[in-house]
Amino acid sequence: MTIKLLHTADLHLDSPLRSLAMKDETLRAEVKTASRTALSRMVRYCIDEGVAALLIAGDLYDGRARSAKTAAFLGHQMDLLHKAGIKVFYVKGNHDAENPISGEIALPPNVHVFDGRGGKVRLEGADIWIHGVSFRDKHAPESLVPKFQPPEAEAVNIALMHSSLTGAEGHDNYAPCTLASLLDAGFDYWALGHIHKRALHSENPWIVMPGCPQGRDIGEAGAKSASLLTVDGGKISVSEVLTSVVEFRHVSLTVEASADDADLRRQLQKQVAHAAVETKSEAAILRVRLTGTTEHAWQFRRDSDYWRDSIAEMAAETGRLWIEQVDFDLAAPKADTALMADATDELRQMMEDIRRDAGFQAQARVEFDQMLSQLPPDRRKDALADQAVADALFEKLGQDAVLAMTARMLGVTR
Amino acid sequence: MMRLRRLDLSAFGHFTDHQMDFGSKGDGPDFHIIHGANEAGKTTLMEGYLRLLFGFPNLEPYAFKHGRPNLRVGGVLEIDGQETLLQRLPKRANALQNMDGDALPETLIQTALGGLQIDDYRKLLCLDDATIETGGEEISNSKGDIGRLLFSAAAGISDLSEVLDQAADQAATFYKKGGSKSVFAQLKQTHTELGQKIAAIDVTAASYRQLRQGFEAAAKDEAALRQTRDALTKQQVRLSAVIQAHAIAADLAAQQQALAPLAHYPEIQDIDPDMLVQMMSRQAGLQARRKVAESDLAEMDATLEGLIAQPVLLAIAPALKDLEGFRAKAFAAESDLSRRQVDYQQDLADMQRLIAELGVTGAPDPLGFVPDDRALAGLERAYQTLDAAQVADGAAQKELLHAQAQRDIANAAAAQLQTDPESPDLAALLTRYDAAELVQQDSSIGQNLARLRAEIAECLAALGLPGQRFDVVPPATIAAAEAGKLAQDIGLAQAQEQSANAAEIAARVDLDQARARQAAMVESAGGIEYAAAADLRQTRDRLWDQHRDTLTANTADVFAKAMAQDDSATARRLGQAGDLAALQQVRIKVAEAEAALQSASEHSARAQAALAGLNARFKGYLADSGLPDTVSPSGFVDWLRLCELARRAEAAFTRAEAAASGHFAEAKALAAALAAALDMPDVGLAGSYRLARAKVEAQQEQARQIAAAKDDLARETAAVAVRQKAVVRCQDALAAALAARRTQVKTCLPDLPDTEGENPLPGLRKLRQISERAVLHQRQISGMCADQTLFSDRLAPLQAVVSGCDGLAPLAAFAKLSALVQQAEGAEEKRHALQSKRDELGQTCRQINAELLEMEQQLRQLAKGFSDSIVTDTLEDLRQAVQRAKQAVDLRAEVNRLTVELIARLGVETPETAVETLAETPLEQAEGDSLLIAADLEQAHLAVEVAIAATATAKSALNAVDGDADVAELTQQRRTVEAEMQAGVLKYLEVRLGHNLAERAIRRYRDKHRSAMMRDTEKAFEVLTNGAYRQLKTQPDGAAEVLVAITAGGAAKQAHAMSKGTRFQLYLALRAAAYEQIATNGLVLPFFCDDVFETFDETRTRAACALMRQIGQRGQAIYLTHHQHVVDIAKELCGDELQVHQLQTSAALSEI
Repeated sequence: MTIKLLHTADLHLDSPLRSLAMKDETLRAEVKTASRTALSRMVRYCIDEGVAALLIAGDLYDGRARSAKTAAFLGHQMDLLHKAGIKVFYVKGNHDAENPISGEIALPPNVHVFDGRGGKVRLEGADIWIHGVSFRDKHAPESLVPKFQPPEAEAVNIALMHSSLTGAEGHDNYAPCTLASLLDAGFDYWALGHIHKRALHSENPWIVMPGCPQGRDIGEAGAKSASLLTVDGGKISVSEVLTSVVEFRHVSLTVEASADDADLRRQLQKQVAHAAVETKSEAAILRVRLTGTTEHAWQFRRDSDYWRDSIAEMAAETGRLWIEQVDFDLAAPKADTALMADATDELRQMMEDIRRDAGFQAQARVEFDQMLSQLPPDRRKDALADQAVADALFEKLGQDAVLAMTARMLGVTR
Repeated sequence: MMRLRRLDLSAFGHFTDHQMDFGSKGDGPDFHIIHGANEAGKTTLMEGYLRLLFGFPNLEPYAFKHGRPNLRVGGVLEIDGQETLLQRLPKRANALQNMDGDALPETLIQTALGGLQIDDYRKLLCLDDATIETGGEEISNSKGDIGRLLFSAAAGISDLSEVLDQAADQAATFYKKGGSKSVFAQLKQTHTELGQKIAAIDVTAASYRQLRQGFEAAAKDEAALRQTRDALTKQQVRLSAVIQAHAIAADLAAQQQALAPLAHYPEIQDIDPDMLVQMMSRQAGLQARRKVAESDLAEMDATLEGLIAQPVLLAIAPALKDLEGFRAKAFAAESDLSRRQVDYQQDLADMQRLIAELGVTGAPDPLGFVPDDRALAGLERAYQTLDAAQVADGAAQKELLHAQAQRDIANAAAAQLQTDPESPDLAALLTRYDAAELVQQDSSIGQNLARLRAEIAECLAALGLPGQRFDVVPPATIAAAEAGKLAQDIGLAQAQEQSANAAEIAARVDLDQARARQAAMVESAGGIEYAAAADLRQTRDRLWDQHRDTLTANTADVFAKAMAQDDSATARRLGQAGDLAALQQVRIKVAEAEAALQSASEHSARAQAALAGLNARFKGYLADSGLPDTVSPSGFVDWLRLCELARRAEAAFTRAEAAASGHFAEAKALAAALAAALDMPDVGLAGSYRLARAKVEAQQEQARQIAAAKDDLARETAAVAVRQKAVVRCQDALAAALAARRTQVKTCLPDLPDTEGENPLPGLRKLRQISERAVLHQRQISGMCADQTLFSDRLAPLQAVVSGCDGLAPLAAFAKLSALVQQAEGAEEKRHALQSKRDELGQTCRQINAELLEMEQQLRQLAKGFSDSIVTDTLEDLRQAVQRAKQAVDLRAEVNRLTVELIARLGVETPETAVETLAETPLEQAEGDSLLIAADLEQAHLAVEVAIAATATAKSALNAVDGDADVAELTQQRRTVEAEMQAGVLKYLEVRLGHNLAERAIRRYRDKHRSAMMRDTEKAFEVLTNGAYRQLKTQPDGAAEVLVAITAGGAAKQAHAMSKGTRFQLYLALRAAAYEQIATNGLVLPFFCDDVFETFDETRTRAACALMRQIGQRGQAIYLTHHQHVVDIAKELCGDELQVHQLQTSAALSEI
């Protein structure tokens, strides 16, 4: 008999997407609450494809989300699975443990939540045992592997665990453990969660990190999926089920040295078309980066708004791509003793010198701090995580300011 | 450094294989003049050089001879001392080649040019009349910063203030401190609103927990109350069942008694009484219908026998119908024929009358006389041609008369205008003196001298003091700068003196305060000063010594008292030890304050002495200058500065007056010459010039009018000749038209006696119209006669068959036959209908008899279920038997139902047990118990209802927390707004940083380059203007600055106020300075000028040549000219150092 199980983790329900592209009302209407759609999509898949159980390896909730409506939505989805006779096995992750809502809404009886002591449950009608250990608190500095009970003999054993894997033990707060300890534990399938990028660490036994079902920012780029386990005659095979509504994509383009506007436009159109083909989800949000050394670097930088709009139009024409940011990391060829370059170059050099001047730095830093202090607390924390991050940001702003102003000047003088 | 060693114009402009060799650079200046006549190709040569550097444009104006694809320029460039032989082709790729045709990289030249583009090269280093002016105007007309513009001429940086403004605007749009309209403020507002919306609709975990707990408690209460209510309900139900069972038992007994007499009727009764009623009704109906049908049959047979048939009339009916069409036509002919014949005769009479009116007699056939359409059209054309020829002839005659009149007017006007041969040639006189320029200069010099005079007067007026005026500039007793220093020293000394005084006063106050504090502390210490205490101690010791010596009671008492006083003082001093320490500090302070006061007093005295010395010196200068001693030092400095200004103004006036002396002589000569020529007294140069100018203009106007009058006369005479020819042409055409008309009338109307008479066309057109109508009437009359004959022939056979129609007219016979046929057809139709109806009635009678028989058989079948003792002979008997049987069945069913209900109500197994149960609980007892429980139950119901409502409310609140995505969507929006804020703030900071950096860098750059550029330009301009302009300044003009040149006389002039020559010299000076700047930056390139000295006088041309030589010393200077005098001046100035190249004209080149 063939039995299917769907493995997912790190849903972070109702956690918003972090992208400027979401300013676009069309995209917002299409994506709505992407994390909910990803869960609904998995539930629908389980019902339609006769999946026996859904395995959730932690972080159903987002640590920040405090709305009971989130839990109500989850309850409704679990109820759909209950009516279809599908079991749910769930271990809590660090975000679930810290989220006060997770214990408030009663889930239907088909949902088995493992506690912090660990335990095992047999999947009815099959020789399959599900083991699991939940996070008790938002931190778990020690490995959870020793808390697992031994696997059942002559049966398929699946272990659910939320873990950062080989983090530095004693320093990592997210149940660190070594791959070797998992390989030796005797389970047939380690259903892991916590790291948002999908990874198959081993196939015998299976050690699978499915990744989050919906990326939330460019740091979680690519199409996202859940892992489908097919158990047949005691053997497990694994495949992917696409879950993401929208995916984030990096588009990098090396601008040719002699490229003019028309060349660049052609190159961009090609890249955007390629991105549209490569996109597996319904939509994609692109972060475009232009690199290379070109004599028109300053023009492209000066006209950055125009190029940003042009790329957005190209993306809009595909009907499924949106642009969140365009980075111009373009360098100009080294000017010799060029007369025209000299004037602007001298100004650029002077700006560089002034920028490094301690007095100017102190003055500029005051404005920097004042402006960033007006951001909402989360964004402030994001920009000024620590002194080193703040310093790096200040330095980059200074560099960009010089380059942008030089481009503006060249735009007038040429 | 780049130098042009040789330029090859292999195929460019009109040049073919032409070379211009500049030779190698020697030790002297690298200065070349290319001299050639107009059209020799000097500009072509400069353009060829630019093509070599930058390539050929798509629209090449120099491709007129060789064609663009064949163009080719080349040469030898010395780049950093290295000679490179190269050529340029008009190709997209590999355009730059060596002489072997191998491609050379463009960077070879681009690097040497330092990135300079062609437009900038032209504007800076290839000057001609257009580029020197354009580039110069860009500088002088600009409202930007002149310093920046000057260095921008060298560095290619133009309006950077625009860049700064854009950046500032961009930043201000995003964020403005305290503003509510900025992008950031609006984002912040949106962020706050989203947060409020989320808070309003969201349910937190804690709120949800409370809702859940409330619901659970309410559900528990409800369950307990339900349990109580259910128990009471159960008791109530049981008692209610017993009460109802007593009633059922009584009912059961009554039913059993009613059933007894009907026991022999069948157990089952399945005959429907309604069906029996229907059968009875149907039977009666059938019998009634049979009786009516039999009566109708007899009546129909009698009617049929009375109807008779008409076969002959029926046979002719179709033929009569076919004749209907012919009858209608015959009928119409009968009514219209006579009217048509009258109309026809009338038409013939009208035609006869019209023919007679045309003058024709004896025409037998009016229809034959009328000409056909073609002949009529020919006649019309002939008459139209004749009319047109007559009109044209009249118009030509009129125009000829008009032209002759115009010629006479022009002739008279020309005769009136005559020139005055005695007038002097004032125009030649004005040209000889270049009077316009001289008058303009005179005005300008006069204004300048007046201005300088006013300046001097203004300065002298400013020098005046109350009660004292100066008519001449006083001699200098001390320089203003030195006086300024003295005033500054006095000011300083005064400040020091005041400061020392203040310090002395402050020290005195400090001392007074310290002393007062000391006194207060002494007083508060109870008078026990150290000195007082010491006195007491000394007194005590002294009295002790006395007592020890005498040891008497008296001394003992005195000693004891003194000891007690000392002890008391000691105790108090010990208790006030802190105060005493403070007192000691105050004492020290007093001493310090005394010392400070002494020092301050001494310092004040020194300051007063210093101030007095300086004042004495100052008064001495005032006296020397003849000024009262009331003048302040700063006032004296200002006065001295005014003196200096006055002296400078005086010197400027003297210089200007001397410079204008030559001009005044020339102006005077011109004024005298004009007075003589105009024959009037000398009214000054300007007045004479205006009069002469007016007279010259009047003479010119008269000459122009005479020439115009002659032109008019010649034009009008020619017009008369043309009109005369036109009249002849029109008369020829008229004769030809008359002949043509005659021929046409003869051909079409041979009977018309007079061809020259009145135009016959209107009469003929009317005649033609009536003849067409007469022909139509003739055709209608013959058609009607034919219709009547045809109808009569067809009707005759039918008339013969029917008797009584002979001798009747065709239309009357047709009417009679039609009436007879219609009557016969009606009788036949009625007979057929009656026969059909009789057959149907016979069939109905037979069916009724069969149905009555079938019903009899059905009655017998139904009666079989009843016993013989019950009568069922007729349908009515059977119906009564069925009614009673049904009554018996119903009673049996009711007895069974009541028995079952009784058992069920009491919940027992058998009827017997039910009877026993009822016996156990009599009706009265059951009713009493039931009333008691009903009251309890009502209370329980109320309590449960309240609990249900509470549970429902709690559940509703809990269920209201649904899984909708409102909060999640708002959170998403808020997160996006945060991202916008973050990105916007970073962009804002980038722009702000860039703006601040650029502002400072531009300032730094400007300071670095400005002074050198200004100095170089000033120097070059002074040389070029031969010292007429000695200084360049910038002065504010609103928010900007403008460039101002200061003349030797001190007057300030902007570029637009200068003459063209001087303006060009300023622009040339700017380029020379720019060249110097570029060269200082390491970029040395060939410098071309194309005849830009044309407007320079000889002195300034010499200076310009010197400037070119100076440029040649730094790099390479090439001047193109067609003026031999420029070549001569340059040769005179530079001697052998100058290289002159002759350029032959294109004609000469072609000959070669």
